[in-house]
Amino acid sequence: MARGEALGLTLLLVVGLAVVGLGADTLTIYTAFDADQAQVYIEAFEASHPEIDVEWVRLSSGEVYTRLLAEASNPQASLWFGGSNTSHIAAAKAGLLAPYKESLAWQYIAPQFRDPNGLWIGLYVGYIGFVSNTEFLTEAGVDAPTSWQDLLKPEFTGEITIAYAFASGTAYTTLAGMLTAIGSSEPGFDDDDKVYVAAFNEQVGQYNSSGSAAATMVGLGEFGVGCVFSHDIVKKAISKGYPVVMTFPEEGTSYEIGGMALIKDGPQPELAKIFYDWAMSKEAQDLYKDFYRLPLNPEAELAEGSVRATDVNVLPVDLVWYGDNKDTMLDQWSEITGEY
Amino acid sequence: MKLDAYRRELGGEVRRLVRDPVLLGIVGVTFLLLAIFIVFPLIKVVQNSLWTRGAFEPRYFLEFFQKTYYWRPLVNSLIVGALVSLCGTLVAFIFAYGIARTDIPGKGIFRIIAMMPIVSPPFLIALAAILLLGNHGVITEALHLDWDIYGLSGLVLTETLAYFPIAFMILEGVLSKIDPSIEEAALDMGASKLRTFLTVTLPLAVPGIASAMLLVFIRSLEDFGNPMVIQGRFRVLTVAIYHAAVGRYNLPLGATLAIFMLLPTLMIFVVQKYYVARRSYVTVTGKPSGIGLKTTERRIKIPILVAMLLLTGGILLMYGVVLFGSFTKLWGYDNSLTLANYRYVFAVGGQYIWDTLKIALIATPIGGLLSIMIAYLVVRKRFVGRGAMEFTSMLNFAVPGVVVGIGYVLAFNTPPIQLTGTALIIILVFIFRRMPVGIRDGIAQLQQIDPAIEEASSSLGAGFFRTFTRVTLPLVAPAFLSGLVYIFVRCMTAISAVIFVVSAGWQLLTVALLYEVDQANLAAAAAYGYVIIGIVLSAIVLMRFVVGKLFKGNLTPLGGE
Amino acid sequence: MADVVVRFENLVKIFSEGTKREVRAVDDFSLSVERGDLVTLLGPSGCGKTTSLRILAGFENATTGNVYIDEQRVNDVPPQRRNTAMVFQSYGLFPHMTVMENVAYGLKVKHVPKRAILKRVTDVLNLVGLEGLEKRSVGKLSGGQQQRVALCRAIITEPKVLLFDEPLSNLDAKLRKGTREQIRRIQQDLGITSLYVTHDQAEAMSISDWIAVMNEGRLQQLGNAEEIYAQPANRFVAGFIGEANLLSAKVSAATSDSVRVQVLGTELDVVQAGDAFSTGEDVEIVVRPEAVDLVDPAQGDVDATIGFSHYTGSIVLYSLVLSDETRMSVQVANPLERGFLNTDQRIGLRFHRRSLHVLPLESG
Repeated sequence: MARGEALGLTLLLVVGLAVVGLGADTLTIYTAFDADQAQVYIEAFEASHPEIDVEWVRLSSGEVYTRLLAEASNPQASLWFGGSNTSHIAAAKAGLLAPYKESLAWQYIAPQFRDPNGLWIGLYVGYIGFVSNTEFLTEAGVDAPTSWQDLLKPEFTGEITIAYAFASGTAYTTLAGMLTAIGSSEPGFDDDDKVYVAAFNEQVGQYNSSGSAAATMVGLGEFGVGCVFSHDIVKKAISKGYPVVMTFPEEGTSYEIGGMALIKDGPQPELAKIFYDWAMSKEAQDLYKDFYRLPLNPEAELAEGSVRATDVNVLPVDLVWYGDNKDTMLDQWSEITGEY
Repeated sequence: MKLDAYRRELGGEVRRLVRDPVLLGIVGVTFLLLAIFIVFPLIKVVQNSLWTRGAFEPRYFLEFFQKTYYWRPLVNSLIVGALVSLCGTLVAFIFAYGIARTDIPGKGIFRIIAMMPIVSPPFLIALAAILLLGNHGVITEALHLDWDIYGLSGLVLTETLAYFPIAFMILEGVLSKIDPSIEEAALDMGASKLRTFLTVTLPLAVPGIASAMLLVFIRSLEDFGNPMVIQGRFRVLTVAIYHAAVGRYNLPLGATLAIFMLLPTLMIFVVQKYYVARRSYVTVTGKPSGIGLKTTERRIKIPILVAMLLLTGGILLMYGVVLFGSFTKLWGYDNSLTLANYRYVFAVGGQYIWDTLKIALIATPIGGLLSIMIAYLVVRKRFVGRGAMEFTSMLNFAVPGVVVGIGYVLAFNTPPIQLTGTALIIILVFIFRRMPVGIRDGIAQLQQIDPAIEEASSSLGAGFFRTFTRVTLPLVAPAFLSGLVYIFVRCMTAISAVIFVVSAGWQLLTVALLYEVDQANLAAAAAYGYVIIGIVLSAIVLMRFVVGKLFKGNLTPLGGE
Repeated sequence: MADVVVRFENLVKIFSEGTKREVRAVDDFSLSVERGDLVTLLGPSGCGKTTSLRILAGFENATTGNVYIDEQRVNDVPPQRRNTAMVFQSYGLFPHMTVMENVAYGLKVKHVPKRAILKRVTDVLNLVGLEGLEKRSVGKLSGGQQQRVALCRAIITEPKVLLFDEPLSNLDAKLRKGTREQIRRIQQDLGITSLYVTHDQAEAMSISDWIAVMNEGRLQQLGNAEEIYAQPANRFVAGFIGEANLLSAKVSAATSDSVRVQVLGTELDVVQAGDAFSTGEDVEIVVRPEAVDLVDPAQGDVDATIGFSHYTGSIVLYSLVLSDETRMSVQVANPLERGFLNTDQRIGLRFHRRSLHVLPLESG
């Protein structure tokens, strides 16, 4: 066989092998935790379950939802780990999740932190807060915002940063909070809400795809004010030593439940359940302390300086409704902001 | 009569093809590959924009012109494109003129500077722009500037610097190949140097300038990485397509926007290829003479040299600040040096590095061989549909990366060909995305060979395959291998198409970089950037070394040009 | 029955058909080549000779018409399967291979065993005087050596037809003469049927069995060297092969073996078959420069005056003014012995009757 043909065949073989790739005991998950956090949690799981190899992709919760939609006929992952549960609710409604009521955690989790049909469960809870750069506040001669209306102040024009409502659970939760706080607290866009959101849109200097990025950007001084979950504010800005201050809206703030769910028809359902159970255990939830999250396992430890429910006013946000109607909400949001 | 001639020609070509089974097989397979991996995705894009849920309903087409926020990104993209092509060509012209037409010192260094943006992910410059000129940037703070880099100004600045090398390559070629005797004749007849420049040199260079401007325009239009980082509220079409497809899974909207992105790029491509390129007045065969008319007058040289130095300084500053940033603890706040970012990259991103390398190393040789094969078929052989093959393989020049990305998602997400989640789909994107460049280079290389050499091989009884592997390939080998490096670099720095097809099993470095920027982990992003640069530079150096060793004798084809 | 190896049948080749740049390179060309013959296609550039050769080789395709090799129609057969071998003008040697590898290439294609290859290569290199150069890289050879390597590479495959595309035009004059003799000798020794293309008529005449003179895509005349030179079929052939003076004349009488013509006020009997001519017909007489003797005035057939002269060593060429104010060239050999004539000198011309040739008058 001539040299040329042999080379060609070898090449073909290499390609073929590469494509086949690995199989074996691998669990594929999508996670909406930040990559460095996900790394910690997943490595902890792998340490206590050495026979299981985890392959994971980090996507924001909105992106996980759309990925599941895209892969509906051929799901590539088995578990959805983390991320604002409004996306989980939307996914449940779209029939993309599998129930798991047999989990141990089912027994101790309070009903508002789990799906009635077992399609998702809450890992942690978080509250939306405002993070402001103190140097910016001094220069601009304005106080940190303490209400949703404060965000519309002229000093903040172009200085606010937040994620796209469709890309990030943080931003969608924030939107839900705004709509509940402004005008009537009935879910959905009423006329006052539309005016508010349009005005708020003018205040935003940059939208990004990741919910917690705003905290870092405000810390860096790129922007003056951001709307981010309190645990992210503490982790990414305050604990790092950036010159920032955290405040909450007096009217009350929105909250999220960080969720987890089995993906319907995922390739490794049994492995996924093992991870699921582990993630709800004290051992796993103790890890949240390092990231300032509030675990929903009552036995898990809490971080110092964590914000508790008693410290903050909470709005009666109808999370289920917002989860069910996410698509229409986002359409209306796009109409108003011109972003999509 | 013309139709008869055509029919006769066609009949003959078909008969000849049938008699040469090896050629027939190769032509057939090539057409199949091009049809599946270039044409089919585009068809799916068109299909999805016109049919929604099975019914013919071009919903977004109709809405496109009604809703401001649908067409605004297109307008924005065009505005940016126009400005970038102007600025980029201007910057490139300064460099090209300085290097090709004056006797300033340090040309080698300037040339390297002019090519630097090619070896790094283009949106690294956007990152640098934020570090330097962002709201909290080094220069912003030092000079107390009140300038918002996010938006149009940031886009124009970053894309100009990212894409002027393309214009530079064209302009340098054009300026150095103008026959010096034409200019000497003008001077001989009494024209001043300035007049000669304005009435002789510049007009001769106009087709080259036009080509450069059009090509930079296309690159700017299809830029994805820079806008993702720095567009602010000045939305451009590529990002809109990405958000529509990946953010909202609204594929009909994404497909419609993709069509509106495709129309201008196709038009520009056609204009450039069939109108401007034909009007070249400069001979392209042979190497640049080098013995051109060199300007030695100080009042021209000095300003050009100063401009080049300023630009060089700017570029070096950008790369420098990113390098520095990669070693800082908390960029902008705590600039103490640390290796933590690199440790992070190798820890979290270690798998990404392997994945990216593996995929790039598979795609590169396959893409290279396929390109030279198609170049060979198009240049040397006559067969049915040759024109169609040439056109299809060049099509991806005009198709923006995001359109390819969304096309691949639409085409290969479902049976009959289901490739999502595999490495194969990423490899395919890499192979076919930049194939036109490989083919164009391949054609140039082949045209250097005296056709008699290959005809002699046929004459002695060798079929297509033997001639190609024993005679053609060895002769183009040095240039071919160098071309492989270029493909590898493109694989390592690509973002706009592949971001649609990465998956759980296979992640890429550029996507990881973009993610870090999105998270505002600028230092980590900088570290990723330099890891990519490091890999690319190593590859270039390695290839230079290998080619030098293998081809010490420096082959020159006998009897040819 | 003649043993025809190559046959062109009404070959037509049109380039860029149907466009503004349409060119009819070959126009109804027919030719047969018999086994063992060396036939040359001779003509100026653009006459269609190279195109016809390349069509035979398979590198171009005929527009209409047929090409046969050993009476098999080969129009659609790819070049590598036609059993022809070509020697190119630029040699087409493989620059990345040695002499041995170049020459052995065609045999390797046929999977000839290594030992046999070695022997045959050595033999053929000996034939052309390149023994010992097997390992040399072809880039290091002189032009003449490269040309011979190209020749070896072609003949070693024992093709049915050997094709030559102006193989000597890149060599200097001295080398050309020696090499063409070598080519002819080898071709005859091996008996390979060959088709040779050149624009150099001396080359064609010295090595060919038959010459096909072409112009503007058409065959003008097929014949051996003597026929073409002494009996050119038309004005073009007459002027292309050697120098030719054309004198206007009128036929006064024509028989089967001679033609009497009225020219320049005198009558000449030309030795030529006159069946094709009729009395009173206007004709042209081809007079070669060497077909005239210069004698004292009134001693020859006609008188003339010397115009100017070109002396090139072995001959001197005089441009003469005739009685009807037209000019003609006459060549005198060895002027050193015979003496030189002066401008404006009156001189007499005596024509060599058997060397003259009568052509019918052509329009245009």
